[in-house]
Amino acid sequence: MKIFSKKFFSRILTVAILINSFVTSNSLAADSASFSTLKMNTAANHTFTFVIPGEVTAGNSIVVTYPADFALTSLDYTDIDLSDDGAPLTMAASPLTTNWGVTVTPGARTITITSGTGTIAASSVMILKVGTHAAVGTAGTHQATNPTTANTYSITIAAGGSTAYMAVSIVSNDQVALSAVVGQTLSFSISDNSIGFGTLSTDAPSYATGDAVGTTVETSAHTITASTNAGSGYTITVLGDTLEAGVESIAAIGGTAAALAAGSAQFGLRATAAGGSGAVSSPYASADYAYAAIASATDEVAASVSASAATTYTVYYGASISSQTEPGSYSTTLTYTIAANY
Amino acid sequence: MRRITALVVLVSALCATVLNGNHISYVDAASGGPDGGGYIWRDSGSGISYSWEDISASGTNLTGRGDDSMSSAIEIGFTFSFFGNNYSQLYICNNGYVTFTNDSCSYTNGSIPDAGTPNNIIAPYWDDLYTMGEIRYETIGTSPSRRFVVSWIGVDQYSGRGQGTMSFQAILYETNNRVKFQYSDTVVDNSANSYGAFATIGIEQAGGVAGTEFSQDIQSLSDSFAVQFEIMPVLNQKAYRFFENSDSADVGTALAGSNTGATLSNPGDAFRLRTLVALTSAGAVGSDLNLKLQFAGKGAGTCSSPSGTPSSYTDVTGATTIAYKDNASVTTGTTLTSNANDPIDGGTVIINQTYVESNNFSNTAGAIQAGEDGKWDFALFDNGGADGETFCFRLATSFSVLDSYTYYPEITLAGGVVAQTISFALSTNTAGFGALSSSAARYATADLSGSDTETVAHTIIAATNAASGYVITVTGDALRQGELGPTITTIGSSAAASQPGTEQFGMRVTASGGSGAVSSPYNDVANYAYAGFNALSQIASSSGSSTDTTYSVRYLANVASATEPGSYQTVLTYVMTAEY
Repeated sequence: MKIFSKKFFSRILTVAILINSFVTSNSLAADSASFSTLKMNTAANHTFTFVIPGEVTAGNSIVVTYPADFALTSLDYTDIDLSDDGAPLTMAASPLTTNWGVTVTPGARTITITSGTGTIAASSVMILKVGTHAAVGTAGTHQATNPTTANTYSITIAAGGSTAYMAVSIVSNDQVALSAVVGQTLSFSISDNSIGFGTLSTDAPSYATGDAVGTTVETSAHTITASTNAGSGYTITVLGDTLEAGVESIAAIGGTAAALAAGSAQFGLRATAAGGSGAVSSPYASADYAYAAIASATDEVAASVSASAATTYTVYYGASISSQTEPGSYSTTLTYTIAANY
Repeated sequence: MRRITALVVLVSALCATVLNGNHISYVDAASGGPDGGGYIWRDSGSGISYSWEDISASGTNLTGRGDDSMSSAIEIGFTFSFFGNNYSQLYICNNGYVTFTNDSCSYTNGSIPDAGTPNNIIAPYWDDLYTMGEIRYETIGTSPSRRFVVSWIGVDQYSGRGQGTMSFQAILYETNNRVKFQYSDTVVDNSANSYGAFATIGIEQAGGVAGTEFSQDIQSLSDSFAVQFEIMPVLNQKAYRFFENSDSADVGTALAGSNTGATLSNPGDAFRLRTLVALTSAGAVGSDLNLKLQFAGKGAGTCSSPSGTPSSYTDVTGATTIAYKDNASVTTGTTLTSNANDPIDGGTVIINQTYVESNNFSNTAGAIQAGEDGKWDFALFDNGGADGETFCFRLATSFSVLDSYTYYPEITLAGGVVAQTISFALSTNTAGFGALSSSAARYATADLSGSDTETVAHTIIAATNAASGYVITVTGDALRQGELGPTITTIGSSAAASQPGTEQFGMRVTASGGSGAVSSPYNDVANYAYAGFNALSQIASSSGSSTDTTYSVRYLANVASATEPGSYQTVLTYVMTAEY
């Protein structure tokens, strides 16, 4: 026997059905037969809404008859819900007192719901569910299968001394399969490819500028803009030696960020990020400067761990020299690379 | 005292037998009864055939008989039930009767019933007969349809001995326990003594308190004439069911539940009616029920008292308003093929009978025992009946109605109730956006390549005659990678304009023709929406019946720069539900 939890249909829905039913009913109103899919040869949940014209008395039945080619294989009472004006009736394998016995005869394609002692008053709005959406009590586990041929089929429900007919249109396919492709994207740009510190001094650190003149006031030299739709984001690395003049060089700060100090030979960079979901990597995210790459080994400057819209990285370069620094023209070429992580 | 003179010549013999006033359901003017034992008689005027059983060579000759002599016990050859008693032997009296009681052979023919002896008799011609000719008897046929025949061949009357002879016989039937008298020669030289003028013809039970008399001392007979006595069957029309017609001895789909009236879908529709008839009386009906199907217009009355056209039950023919259907591949009288949806009568044994497409019909497919039902299958069609009119059916015998009717099958013709129609079609079942871009909106096309220009991907055409119209819903996932992968965000139930660079999946719909209309939010003139994700979302409806409405469906997809690359799919299911 099914064990029921109370379940009520929305008042609005019930009222709407009542109005519709009384308008259309002389005998047993066959208001609607709603299927979860109209696709032929496909398992479907069926919902019937109808009005009983005359009383269903104790011991009498409601009989649903499907046309040929519908299949009711394996359905049993757990796959059936029946409500009377919104109140669920107790479905069971056989009628007994308030239980309504459900007999599914696949060969005849009939579902017979027989009263024990229960009755249904005339003009009651009935909702009959056949399938896995019959969730009252033990949930349904089987569905009816639509016919194998596209056509209009009429399902009958006999009850209360009359018979209702409900036409449904079974079609070859009631579905639209939509498809789309999103291509991989990766964008990367550097705002300036030539920057300079100008003349370095032991009196104060210098900062590279896009006009190659340099300044003692901290200034960004260029920006890097990066984005990708790669699910695991991207990584930006830098590759290149520190500032060099022949065999002479200005020492790179290394992998630990440090403040620029006048009178000390230092070369480093730092970066900030804006937009997107990219972020500056350590040690370059500090307010201090660092530089850990060499000509043969890259160092990560920034990264995004997921797809990201454009992130603009603002890059600052700083250098200072000591009194022992050999005079000359120092230069280096830093190569930035972005790699998407799909 | 022997009768020696002819009395008055009597006329109107057939009409002289008076029915006993009981309920008659099986007899007509050429018939009578029932008596206290439930027997009736029918004669050649009521369809009882005459077919002389010639045992003149094969039958046992009752030799050594004298005037008023009784034979010794003779084996019948089978058990014969007579007024409720079973017999295996009988005795033959020279004076034109047999008896199951060893008694004297009376030459004084009395009335039936009468408590005086002889009793327990079967009397084809009880009269004072003499010794000419032969009396032969024989059991012929095979079980369960054997017959015991006693023939008086060329016998003469005592009072008219030497003045002509007569020949007649009595036949006792196995199983149905009927008795039949046949007369090949009832004429003697004196016509006043002919035709059974001084004979008693009938049957009488053992106590003499019940019996069925065909005639006494009247000229009721003729040559080549037969009279049959049988237990009157009590018949009740019971469960029924209507089916679609099929050109076979089987039926099509049931039109309604058992014992439930049905409505035809279209004018002129053929249909089948299967109905049960219960034999509620004792005994059995062999294979000679003579039934017919009748119909009447129900009108404002009931099927037990119809008031339509015709207002009284009328035999169904091939030309009546409800007419017999002539199916090409099956002939009337073919044993019907059982169907799983056939009507049943509780646990009552049902004897399948025949497919019927003309009156009259019988139970030729098998005997029906007491307490059993016979089942017949009628092929019928609407032969121009009024729209929506309801007709009732009943079975009747050749002479009268059945004893009772548990159900009168009712069929309602199409027209008054217009057949429901519903049509629903999608122009294509696939559509594609092609490659999506964060820089421009993309619209799905039926060729799957997509377009940057708004395009109709497919159409939906819907129509119904349902008075309350219909609803079309859509449901389906968002565009998604695989089953659980990332999705392209659906717009939801508030229509929004296309925004390239922002994830959007939506649709909008326009309608033309019929009276269907697009539902909000899909009816926006420019913006898109999609609320069918994990829910049924109504996209269109008609509030009344509608001819074809064509819905043109457009799909929009936008992606952001961060939208995960890959292939996205979804399946949208469209369902139309008519509201009758």
